[in-house]
Amino acid sequence: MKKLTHLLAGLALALGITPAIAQDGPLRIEITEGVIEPLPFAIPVFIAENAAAQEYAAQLSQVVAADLAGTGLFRQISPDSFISTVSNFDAPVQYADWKAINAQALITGAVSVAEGGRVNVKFRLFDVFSEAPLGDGLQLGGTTTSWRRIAHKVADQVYSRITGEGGYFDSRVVFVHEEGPKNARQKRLAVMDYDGANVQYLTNSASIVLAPRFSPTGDRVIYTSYETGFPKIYVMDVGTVQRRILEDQPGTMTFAPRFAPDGQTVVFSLERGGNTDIYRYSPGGTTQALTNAPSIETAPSYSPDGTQIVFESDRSGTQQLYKMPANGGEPTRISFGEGRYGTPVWSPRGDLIAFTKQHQGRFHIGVMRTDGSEERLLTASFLDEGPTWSPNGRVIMFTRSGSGAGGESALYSVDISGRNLKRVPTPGAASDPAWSPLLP
Amino acid sequence: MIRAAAISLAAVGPAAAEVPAPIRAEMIPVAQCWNVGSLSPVAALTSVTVAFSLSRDGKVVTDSLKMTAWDGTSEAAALEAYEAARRAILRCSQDGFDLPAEQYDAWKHIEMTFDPRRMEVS
Repeated sequence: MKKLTHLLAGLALALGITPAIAQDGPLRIEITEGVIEPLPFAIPVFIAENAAAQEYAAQLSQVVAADLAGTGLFRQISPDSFISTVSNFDAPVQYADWKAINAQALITGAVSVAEGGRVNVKFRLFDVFSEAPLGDGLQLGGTTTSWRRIAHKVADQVYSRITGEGGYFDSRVVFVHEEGPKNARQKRLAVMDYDGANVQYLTNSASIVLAPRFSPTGDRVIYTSYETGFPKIYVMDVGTVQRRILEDQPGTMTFAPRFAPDGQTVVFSLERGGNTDIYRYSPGGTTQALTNAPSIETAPSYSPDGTQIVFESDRSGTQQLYKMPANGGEPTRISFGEGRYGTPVWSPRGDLIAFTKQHQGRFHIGVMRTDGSEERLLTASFLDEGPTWSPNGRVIMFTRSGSGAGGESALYSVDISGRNLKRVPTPGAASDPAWSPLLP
Repeated sequence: MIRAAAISLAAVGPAAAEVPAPIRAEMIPVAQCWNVGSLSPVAALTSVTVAFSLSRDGKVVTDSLKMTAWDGTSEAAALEAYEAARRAILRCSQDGFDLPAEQYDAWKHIEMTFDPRRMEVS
């Protein structure tokens, strides 16, 4: 537990001094000291309301608990310490028993499986010390094969009710699965739940694939493939795995694509005659250059309102970040710190830009305001790169690679506070993660 | 300064009994229960003022808790910050605050401002 201390030392505890007699109005106290610790919560195993629900009840509550604890903002209280048992979803809560073990939030749930394989989950969230429900109870349903999604949705609700911001658990990540040594690495596109479960491969390993990105609705993925021998952009329907080439101008290479918020327009890099600029592909098939410079312009990313694009360019002599109007126009440089900056990504909240920074032989994932101010580095390692934002803008996932010929790539995530750095489980080496929006 | 004056008065004679020790903020310890870790970034930039009443045994009258003011970017963030403040008050007052009963009028109504913007991690 980290203790927070007042900037103006000594003032905090003195502020309560007040005449004890003949006082007008309330006693006024200012609190500028607090603690940062995971909020302890209790989640008794959800009640199985029929025999078929037995196998799901325990797993559902485990996934909900793992989602919450995995944020670093919550701490699961061991069921071994529970005083109360919850055997009836509608029974009154024994608040004193939960207070005694310092549970600040209590999550109760019940699961039933109907004929035909439909899972129904109802849950309630309680603020233990207020002795009151936190929001209304909620019921969610789905097929037995989607039980993990139901659990993620429950966790999203709990997260949202306690923190006041949207959740991110019911989401997916597209990434590049890697096999083999660095000098002969095979790469396949894959998608998985945000927590590494339910991995599905979208392509085989016949050709190199790079930099997949979800569409704003999460139903399509845009990526770069070398299957023609040159980098070209493809769009794939995630459900059917059908794909098509986006743009094929002979004699050019296209890469680093990203959807605009409208889900139709695509911004990407196009190399022609040794020069790389940023282009826009619009619905209807028209392609328009947004930059025209002898330097390398790449890694474009839209602001969430679609009005601006941030990208990297070496026009100043070193790789730096710039932003420009979505229709093109004079770019404004926004990175001015020491080192080189790349792969900028606008946050879904619109307030921050995540980036990769290389400085003094180390790589960092960082964030800055959209005007380049308040730069903060969140990580440092031999090679960290390619940030992607969680749907709520609270967490960043990225690629971390080890040194040497055998150095594997893996996916990591970190809270934007810089806390809770952790590896994301994948079936093997992995790189280039891109987070989906929250699933419908 | 007020505290020093009270001690001085106590030393000069009978009148000292009429000047009880002042109520100090540490007699109502809430900071140790104020967990700002789960606040969203925007709520962490919002100060809230919470008014509440205490019963004579130093326990919070739960129904009296209410947000009376906030300073930040949105009401949603203020409500979130208020919930964290409310939890802190309720957690730390479980056993009742240890306050002098003879001065009940001085502490029966409290207005507590929680300002996360003025904190730093030590």
